[in-house]
Amino acid sequence: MRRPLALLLAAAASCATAAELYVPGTLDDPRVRMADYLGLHKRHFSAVVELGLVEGADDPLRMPADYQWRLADNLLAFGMRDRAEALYRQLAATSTETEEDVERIAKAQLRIAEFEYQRGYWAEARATLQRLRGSLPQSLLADWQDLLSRVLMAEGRYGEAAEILALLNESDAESPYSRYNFGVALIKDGRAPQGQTVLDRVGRLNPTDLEELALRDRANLSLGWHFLQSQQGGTAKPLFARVRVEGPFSNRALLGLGWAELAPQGERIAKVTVGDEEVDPFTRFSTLGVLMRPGFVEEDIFKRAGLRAFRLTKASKEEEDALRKALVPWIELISRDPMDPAVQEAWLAIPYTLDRLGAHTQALQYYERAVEVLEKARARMTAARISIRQGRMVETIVRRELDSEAGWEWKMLDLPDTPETYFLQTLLAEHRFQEALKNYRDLRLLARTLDSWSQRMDKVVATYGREDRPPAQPDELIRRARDGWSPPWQGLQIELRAERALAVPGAYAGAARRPPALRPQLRLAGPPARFNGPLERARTAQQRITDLREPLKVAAAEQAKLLEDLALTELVGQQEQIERYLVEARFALARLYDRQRMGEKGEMNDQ
Amino acid sequence: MRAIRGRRAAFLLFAALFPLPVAVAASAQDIAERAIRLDQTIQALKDEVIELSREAQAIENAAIIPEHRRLSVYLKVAVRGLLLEEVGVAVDDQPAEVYHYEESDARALLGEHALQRVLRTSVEPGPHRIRMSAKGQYADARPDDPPVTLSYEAIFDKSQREAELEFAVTRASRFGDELRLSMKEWRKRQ
Repeated sequence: MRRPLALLLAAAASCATAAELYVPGTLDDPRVRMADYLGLHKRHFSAVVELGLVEGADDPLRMPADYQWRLADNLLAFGMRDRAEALYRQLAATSTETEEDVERIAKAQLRIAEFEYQRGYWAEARATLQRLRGSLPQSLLADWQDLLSRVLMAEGRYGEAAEILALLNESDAESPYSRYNFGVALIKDGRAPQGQTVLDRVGRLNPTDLEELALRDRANLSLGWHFLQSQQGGTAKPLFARVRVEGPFSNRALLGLGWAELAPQGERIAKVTVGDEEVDPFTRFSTLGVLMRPGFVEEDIFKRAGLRAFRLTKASKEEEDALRKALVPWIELISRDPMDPAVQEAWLAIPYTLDRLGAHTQALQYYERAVEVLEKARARMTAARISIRQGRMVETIVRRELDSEAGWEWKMLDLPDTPETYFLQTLLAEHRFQEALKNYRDLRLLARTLDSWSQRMDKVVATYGREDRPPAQPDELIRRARDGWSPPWQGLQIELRAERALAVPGAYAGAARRPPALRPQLRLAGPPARFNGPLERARTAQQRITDLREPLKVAAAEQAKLLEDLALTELVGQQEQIERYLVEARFALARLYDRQRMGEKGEMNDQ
Repeated sequence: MRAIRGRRAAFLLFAALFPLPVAVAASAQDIAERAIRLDQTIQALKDEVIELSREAQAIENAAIIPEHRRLSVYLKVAVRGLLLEEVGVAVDDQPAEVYHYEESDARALLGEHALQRVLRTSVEPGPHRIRMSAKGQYADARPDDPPVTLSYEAIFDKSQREAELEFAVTRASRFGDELRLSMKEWRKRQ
């Protein structure tokens, strides 16, 4: 091999040049740059391990800043806030006062606070943000205000949140999302008129993408229900009508639209002008407003619902009109997914309205169908509870990206097809569930990492136990150890000078005074009491793996239980609602049957 | 009504509009406290597993690819928009080790300082021949555009220390379209 290669050395089209030197932990260090690549690939666990193998990594606080930044960023991304924060603090203490450094450190602190907010460490998040206030660059002020307001709202401190958002509201950096939050904070703080005005502005924004469209719907829905609860049905109606016919908020808006017809209409609320009104954005989308304009409905909605003509006996003309109008959105609503609580409520609202209109037979038929729908929903809810206890949904989500090391940065991109998914849509979107899910995923990743290392350490131990393993070559080992080694006195500058006080060599005639010759007692040293070579270290690692399995297993079981409890708690409210609706429907049915049996005069007059 | 934010709001927009009943809310408080306690435990466990992995990786390196025989080959792509599809590295007469890219790791490799280790193997000290070939395509290429292919072959002299070779895909000139693959060796300062 050597000879042909020697020839190749001469003939090769290109040859390596002299090696470039790097200082471990700097940006030239290939391992640090490899960690960069791994971090960008969202393999944060691997990036942290890679950085741990850099020479000198035992004490990260003494490593170069480039190293510390990468380590801290990857630790935080993998959900290890405490270690990341210690590094960021060190970086802040040792950084220069350049604008770039100040901004980078502030951004890191904002990320820490975001992590704390999402994981539920609200008091810590607030403290982090307050500490940051003094050194905050102007460019990050809007982000800081936005995050602080969300933290304060999570803590229920709406007044303080509103103050912060008011500052943001005055700046150019305000987003529609923070404007929405501003409106909510004002209403929750008891400043309803101002909050209504702000939410109304969001409800009339010209959306640039689907997210803003959904935000606008949400603002209109929230404001609509707010007015409905304040007995302002007349004001609520146009707000519900602004919501899209098809969208995440359309069902609740349809429900609200119906109730708004029946609710007290309230006094007319003067619209506050805020000065940034734009052209009517509701002409570009199909909104619930079409239900208020009969010409826009494709076919007679009453005919579609199988309602025959009925004669009103009890209600006034005004009430009859309101009842008929309320039926329009609700009939549309019951054609939708019966698992939605809004649809379930509509199934009860329609027969209630028909009964009020005097259409008792049709009311009875609708109540019977409502019971069927609710029974089915209850059965599905039971299946969902069983599925939650089996952990099917979580298992399906986790299995999709089993090897992802994204940690805190992991995102759920789609929903699994399991019985509980529908009921948990809201919960699935919330930080408390998402963050718990990320931790559960990470625990599974850690367990698999241990499995992998267990096998690999077994291989290492087996390598040393092989009979055909070549014997150690001490001379070679010493040669390698000396390669690149230099004696500690190498390069020492020795200065020579004349010594005038000494006699000329050979001229001294006195008796030589020498200390007695030192005769150390030498004996052969024994072998080291403990050798810590790769084999011994591998055995220690095997033991550590065994020791770590149990706490990981316990933590994973507790985390799975936490997810289960979150899901079951979420279902409690929905299940109770279905039960309540069923009781109402059955009670109403019994009442109608009683009336029929007793042959009350004037009943069933719609036959 | 809850606080929502920016792009993350896509999911959050589904969030409930009305507060939970009191009994459920009390239970939610208990769950929130458990979540925080568990998060602390999990952070500590992550720390331990990372430390174990670091130690285990060092042991494996020492036992299976000791430093005096270790060869690490890295790759950098310094051409904006060039997404690699596969890379092959062969040392001496050994068959090439081929790495196939997903879009996500090809994009990660475009990071300013990013360097990917494409091979770690064991070779004897002394001269060796190394060949690298790379195939890829620009992110904005048309379907019928031919792929970008590059290759490089060189001899390197393996010392008693770990050899660290960096291959780089760069533009041959500042303004031209021609690409080239080059190599340099790194050595840790003692």
